[in-house]
Amino acid sequence: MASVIYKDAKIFVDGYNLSADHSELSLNYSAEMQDETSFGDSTRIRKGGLQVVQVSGSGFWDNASDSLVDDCFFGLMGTDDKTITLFPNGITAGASTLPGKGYAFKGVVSEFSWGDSVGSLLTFNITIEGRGIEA
Amino acid sequence: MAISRAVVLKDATGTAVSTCANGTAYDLGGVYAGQSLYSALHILSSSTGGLKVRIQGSSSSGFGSGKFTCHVEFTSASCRVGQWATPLTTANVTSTHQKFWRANWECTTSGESYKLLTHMSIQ
Repeated sequence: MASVIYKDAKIFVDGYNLSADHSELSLNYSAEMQDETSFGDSTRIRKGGLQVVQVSGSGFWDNASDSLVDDCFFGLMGTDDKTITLFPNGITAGASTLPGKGYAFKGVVSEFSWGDSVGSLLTFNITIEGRGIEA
Repeated sequence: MAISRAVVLKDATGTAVSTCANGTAYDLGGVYAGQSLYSALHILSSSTGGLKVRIQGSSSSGFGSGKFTCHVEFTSASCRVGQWATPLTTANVTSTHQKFWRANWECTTSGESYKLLTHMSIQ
């Protein structure tokens, strides 16, 4: 088993490389489960439904005038079909297998928040929702 | 399909490109019936002139003159942007012998620099 210390994740949102701005990053790829259980069945019958992609991340607030986080997430909030690419452990050009390959989808920034308690390092949180990749 | 596995054709996220060039050719396989070729581009820093990125396929890793096809041409960009190309199928990539793929980039004005990341997947 090739376990890995999580320290080289990458996140690209449209024209922004926000990898160094994040300290937490998660990709959730799932399928909605529908219940098609009928009378007479002895078990719950699940049917795979629509696929869902969601990215959540957080990091330390960049207070510079050219902050990419504010520019990106404030600017792209709610805008459809932004290009999102993530890598769990660095980038290796030409790699069609792990490690080095990534995951990409069209997404929309659905949440951008910042805040913390007094005296702490200011942090931000983001959520990006997938919109499929077909069209 | 909700997400694609991204195989990077050109990683210029650290060192910018400043001249027109072809990337390394990679054997990623042909596009077969039922499959689609997905590709996307991130322009992470830019100059005023504009950068055009293409994804090309060939049956040989040498990409000899006249022996490759430009399958994707992203819109020329002179600012930060992400682009997702229309997926291609066997209706577009008609030969499964084209299993080698590379990125090609063209700077409008030599000497300008661009940071970029482009990737594709066949699935």
